[in-house]
Amino acid sequence: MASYIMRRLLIAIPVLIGVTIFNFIIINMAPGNPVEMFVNPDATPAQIELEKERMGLNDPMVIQYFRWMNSLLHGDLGYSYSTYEPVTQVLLERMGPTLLLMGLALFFGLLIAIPIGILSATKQYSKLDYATTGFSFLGISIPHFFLGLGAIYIFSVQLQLLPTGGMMTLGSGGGFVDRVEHLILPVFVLATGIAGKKIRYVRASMLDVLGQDYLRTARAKGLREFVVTNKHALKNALIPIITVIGLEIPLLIGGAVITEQVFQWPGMGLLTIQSIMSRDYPTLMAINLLTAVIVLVANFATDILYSVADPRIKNN
Amino acid sequence: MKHLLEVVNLQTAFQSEKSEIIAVDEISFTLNAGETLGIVGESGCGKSITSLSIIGLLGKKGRVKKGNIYFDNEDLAQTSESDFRKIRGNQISMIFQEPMTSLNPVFTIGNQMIEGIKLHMKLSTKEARSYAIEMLEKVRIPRAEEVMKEYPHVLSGGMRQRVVIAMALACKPKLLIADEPTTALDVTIQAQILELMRNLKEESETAIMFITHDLGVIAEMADKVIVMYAGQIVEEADVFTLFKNPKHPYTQGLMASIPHIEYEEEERLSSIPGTVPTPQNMPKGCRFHTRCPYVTEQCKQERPDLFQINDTHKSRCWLVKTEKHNKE
Repeated sequence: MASYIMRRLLIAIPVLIGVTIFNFIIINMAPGNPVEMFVNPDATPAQIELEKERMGLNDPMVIQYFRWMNSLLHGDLGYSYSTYEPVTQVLLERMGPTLLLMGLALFFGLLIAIPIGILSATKQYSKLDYATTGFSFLGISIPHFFLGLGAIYIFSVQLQLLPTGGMMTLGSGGGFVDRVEHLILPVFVLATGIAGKKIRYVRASMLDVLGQDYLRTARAKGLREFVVTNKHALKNALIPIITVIGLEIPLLIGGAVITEQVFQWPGMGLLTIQSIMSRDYPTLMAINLLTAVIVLVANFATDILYSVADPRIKNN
Repeated sequence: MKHLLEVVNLQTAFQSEKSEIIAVDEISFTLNAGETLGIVGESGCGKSITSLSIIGLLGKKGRVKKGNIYFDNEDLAQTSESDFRKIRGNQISMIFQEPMTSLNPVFTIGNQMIEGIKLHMKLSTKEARSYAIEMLEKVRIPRAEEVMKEYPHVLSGGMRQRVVIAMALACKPKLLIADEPTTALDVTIQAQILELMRNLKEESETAIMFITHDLGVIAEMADKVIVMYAGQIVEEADVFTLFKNPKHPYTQGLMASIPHIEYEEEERLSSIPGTVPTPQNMPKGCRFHTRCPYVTEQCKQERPDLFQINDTHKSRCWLVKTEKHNKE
């Protein structure tokens, strides 16, 4: 096991270096430059050129990359071009709200998806099954911006029940109830999408298991159908679902770009959009690097979790 | 003596997309405590459906449509599901064909053993554990205590079948249904498992319903035998009579298709021509007439009953009826 972990960690290093190189090239190939975004519109081309020179943007890309890499290895992610704050601080500020939003969305998404998926599978081809299948396709197909704007229109504009966006009412200090109110709509939108996808997986995985011989053995013992389904079948059905849930973990940190934009949620997704708009290279690079790390870690964690859940894997 | 199990005119049906399919029909037999009943027949003849009807595990689409299943004076065909659960795994238990897949891969042997024991015998976890170890030792599983902590995949097919047998016998059932318990095992292991089942039977008064398509296994295990064809019983006899004097052409065909080692090499192994009819297009008259070498016009038109040849021997064949008639 220890050698397996070591091997996975060593493989991760070239992958991460590759990711940074690709990102650096792509970002630098994008038209425009950060100076144009923040200088005074009256600035002369000479002044802009001077500023670019000062920021090192005129150096060859390779030099810029190694300069960035060098400071990264010293634990320094640089300063944001748009807010002049250290990138590390910017990321830390945004990570909390995203983790909260995405964590709740994933939690509620699964809370809906797992029981409904099970029910849908045990009552295959019933009206309930068709209804949940319909709901899940709806959840998958409705774009988040549409569902988000629709929810804002109904619950905020028409019914005036919930706030339109943000994390708390400005100037109110943000009490618990206020924060919960701000969370409801974005969590609803994200959880709907997650539940839609996961219901399909839970149902399919459960159907695979429901025909297995060992369930007949369990029934032959005289166990109640509830125990047969939720103990004997579910534990088997959840094994493949671990992988699918593992794929969502990066979103916990990476955030939901569109939903955060719609609800002005001050998280990583919104930061990503803002950084792209303002050509904030250091922040963008940091976001990309962080996302890459999280993807690798999540995949690794999924593999470990898999071997915990499935005893047949442990010994190999 | 009152029979332990008395099946009367059982008919089991399955709901398909459009229509209802009768899987087994007119099944009647009795079984006493301590007896072993062999049920033989080809795949799809209704052996398993009959046994699943008795243990009430037909699934959502199947149901006992007609008839009674008296077990210990209770009609299982009328028993509610919640009452049935108290009998299932307790007084009636079942061993299945595939030991490789009949244990749950993600729970330990111990967990799966204890589950049923706790449910029916009302023991504490600790008592159930030591009882489970005792049961595993009884089916001659070495290192029983460690095996309790193992997952099924580390055990061989033979060992897994022993675990399944231990699980089935844990609550000292009055009736054990063994649905091809040795079919998936290789021959040496098969012999060990049969030996084990015989010994366990001698120790207790458990009645066994032994389902198989292997006549050799029947000869070794059964006291009396039911031969099934196309969802019906075609012949019923004690094991000696059946092998010495099979009356139904189908049974005779089965007997003739057993390979004998002493036969001439050139001699072709005989087989019954044709295939089993599907429930959707059962032939008129005798269900076997399309494949029967002795078919008569009567066989094609009229459905034969299960005729009594003597006290213990019955056959569903017009020939038997005519033969008996001529004698009288």
